[in-house]
Amino acid sequence: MPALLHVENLSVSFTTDERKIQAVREVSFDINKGEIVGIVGESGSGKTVTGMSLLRLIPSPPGHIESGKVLFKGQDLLEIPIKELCKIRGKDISVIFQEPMTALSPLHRIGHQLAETLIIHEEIDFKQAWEVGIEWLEKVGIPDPKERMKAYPFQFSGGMQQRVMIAMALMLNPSLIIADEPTTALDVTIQAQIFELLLKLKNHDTSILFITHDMGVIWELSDRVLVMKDARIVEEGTIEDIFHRPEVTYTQNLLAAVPQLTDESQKHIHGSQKEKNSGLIRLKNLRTWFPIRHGIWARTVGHVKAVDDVSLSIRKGETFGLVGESGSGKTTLGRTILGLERAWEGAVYFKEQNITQITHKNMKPLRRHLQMIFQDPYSSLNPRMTVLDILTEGLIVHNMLESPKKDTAAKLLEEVGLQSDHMFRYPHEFSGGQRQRICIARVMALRPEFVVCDEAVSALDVTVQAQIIEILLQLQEKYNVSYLFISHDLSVVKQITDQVAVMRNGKVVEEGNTQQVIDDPKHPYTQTLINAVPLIGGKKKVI
Amino acid sequence: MTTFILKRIFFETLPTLLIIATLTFFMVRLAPGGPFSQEKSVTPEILENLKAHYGLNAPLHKQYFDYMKNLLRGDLGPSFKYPNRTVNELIANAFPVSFELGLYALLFALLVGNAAGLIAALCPNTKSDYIPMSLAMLGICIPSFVLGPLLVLIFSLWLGWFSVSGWDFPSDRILPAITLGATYAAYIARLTRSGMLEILNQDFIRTARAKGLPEYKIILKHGFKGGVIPVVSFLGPAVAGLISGSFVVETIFQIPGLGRFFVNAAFNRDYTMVLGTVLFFAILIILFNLVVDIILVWLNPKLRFRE
Repeated sequence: MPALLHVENLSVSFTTDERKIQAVREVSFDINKGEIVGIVGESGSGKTVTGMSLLRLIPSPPGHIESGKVLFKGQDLLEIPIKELCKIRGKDISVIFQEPMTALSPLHRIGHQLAETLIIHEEIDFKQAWEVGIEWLEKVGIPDPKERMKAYPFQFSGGMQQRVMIAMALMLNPSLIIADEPTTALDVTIQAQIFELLLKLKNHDTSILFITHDMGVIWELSDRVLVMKDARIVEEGTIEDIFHRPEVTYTQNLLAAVPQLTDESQKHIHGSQKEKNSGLIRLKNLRTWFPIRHGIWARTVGHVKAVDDVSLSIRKGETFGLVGESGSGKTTLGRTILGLERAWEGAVYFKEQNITQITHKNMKPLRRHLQMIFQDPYSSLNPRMTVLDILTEGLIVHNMLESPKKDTAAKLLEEVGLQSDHMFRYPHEFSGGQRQRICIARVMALRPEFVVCDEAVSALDVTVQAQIIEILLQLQEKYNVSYLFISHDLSVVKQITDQVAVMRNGKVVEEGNTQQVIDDPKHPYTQTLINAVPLIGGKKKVI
Repeated sequence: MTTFILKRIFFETLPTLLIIATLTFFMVRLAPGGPFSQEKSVTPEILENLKAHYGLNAPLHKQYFDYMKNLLRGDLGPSFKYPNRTVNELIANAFPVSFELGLYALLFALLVGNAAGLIAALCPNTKSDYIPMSLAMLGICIPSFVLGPLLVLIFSLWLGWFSVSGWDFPSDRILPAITLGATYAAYIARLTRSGMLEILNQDFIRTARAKGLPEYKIILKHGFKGGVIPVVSFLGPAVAGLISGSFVVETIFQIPGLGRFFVNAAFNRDYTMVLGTVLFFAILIILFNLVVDIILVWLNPKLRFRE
């Protein structure tokens, strides 16, 4: 039986004014009927470009498909006229994109976007298409579908938006679905639901090309895996072969770098050697509420209870994990501790001093001890400042600059594994991992006692993630700093934290020693959270 | 929506107008000279009588409160320079002319600007981008007092297609409208281009392509609605500026519009006329900004749900 889709020697390049980047290099693979093929690789490996090139969806210019064939039902998709390709796009081959928030148009109602897909490809009037849309919203589990058809995408949560995308991708019963990181932006529990839905609703014969950086997800879903690195496929095989008998070193490294819930915690060995004195940070019935205002006089009609009655204690030199799904209040809690949000009620004690009641003037000297590393290293550095200025700005503000600026910056860069001549560059000249190193150096320059790491490694590839975690742990050892490690990734939290708190709807539902909480979760929500984490080599939860 | 409009009128529009009226009132009075100082050989007695007639010899604060009282009733007072005419009358006579001219200029600016911007955005960094955009730059750079006479020279004197000036025949509208609209067309072209370019790079445009939509539908349905948002924001103050008349264009083409009153009133120290035109212009700006904000909410549903 011939393959459903046959890709041969696909090469794609991107040309900018300065240089040409080879994004995909002579890639060949097949997808059979009903098969789920995963493409896995780190950012920049060319996996998304490969997937998008199949339907000629890469932006062109600067993108350019140099050579290759994509044979689908006897036609070369790279050669046929665009008019013919438009008949295949959305009908025979549909796409689910990574970021449902931006992939759906914010200017049109959900219903219009669903109906549009039908109207393009079928002889159907708007009213009928609308009815079919309602049916599909119901199928993908959106409550009150009739009303929700009239809503706009931003009125949906991320998970709900992705359900809409799935409905859009499946409603014409395509032969192939290209899914580009469809759950990367979502919480683990939502991720599990989305996979379940996708597999339940798709026709038995429908194939999926699954693009992801997440090894766990690949294990859960795929029949066959293509591993991509530097624009090439470096290894290809069945799921068992790739995970249990990887041949290429790169695949082995990739697998080794993935933190696993079943791994022995490394932190708990070196953490226990340290002498832990009493609380550095203590939260007492902390509440951060935001008023909801309404009407012409902006009356307060209610409150968003982002953090609701949280009491915690974080000791010196300890890493305290904070897990929970998006919207659970993790980040707000971190920001409230640092005084970046105003506490509504309750108290934050830093070394037994209540810093929620403190004056602005008295807070200033304390600020340097309370620092934060942000999730997105791309937007958290000022693009118009050199690394030198970024690193020394805080020191100058706090009158802590002892040696000449350049010497200080050089020392700081060395500490995070960068070279001293990097200081004259601007943030855009670095990769994501390097930028996060700069952020760490900036924070550590002030010798803080308490650092909030807000999803500090979430945006990074697994191998880079491992390096950044290593740096964080080294610096902790050196300066005895405490971390509040906010993350949605339980595996990472288990790897490096001593204590953990699980947050849901602004409240802490479970708290305790990390090892104990993860091995023996007491609260049902913690159990759900842990069960949703894909486990490589473990029992597949979805299929 | 009603809350939004009420909020705007009571918390923004009325206080703004009050401040503008107050500031203008005292500023024109601070300027040296007065409405009658240019008149030759007026005896002090006549001057006193004139001042008494217009209430200018009362203490300043009393003048201010009197003016405000009249203003509340919509009465902008008598003109000091045009005897026996009220400011209301003068504006009511001149505004329709300026309004008509502005409307044609706006039409011209929108048609030319949007088309040029769209073409440029669809083929960025090619000839079809560079040529309209260079012309747009030229349009911004050339002032109307150069463009106007130039057009008259070519189309009226050399080709003889239009009259040199005047406001009598329908064809008299064309050259002034182009002169007035050219700069706006240029701005609109640039805004359309950047707005469209930004939208066409969004993820949901890729989604539309992945659905199998033909390119022209993607551009019109998914692209244009978002791409014109910057143009619409610009149009608020632009429309107010266009329809309230242009001193330069109205002078070049001898058009009896509102624009000349703005300038002449200031030269003549015609206090009530200055205040009247300023307030009228302010109301137009505020009104069109409000209209624009309502259109923006319609274009971008996200704004509807924001507190």
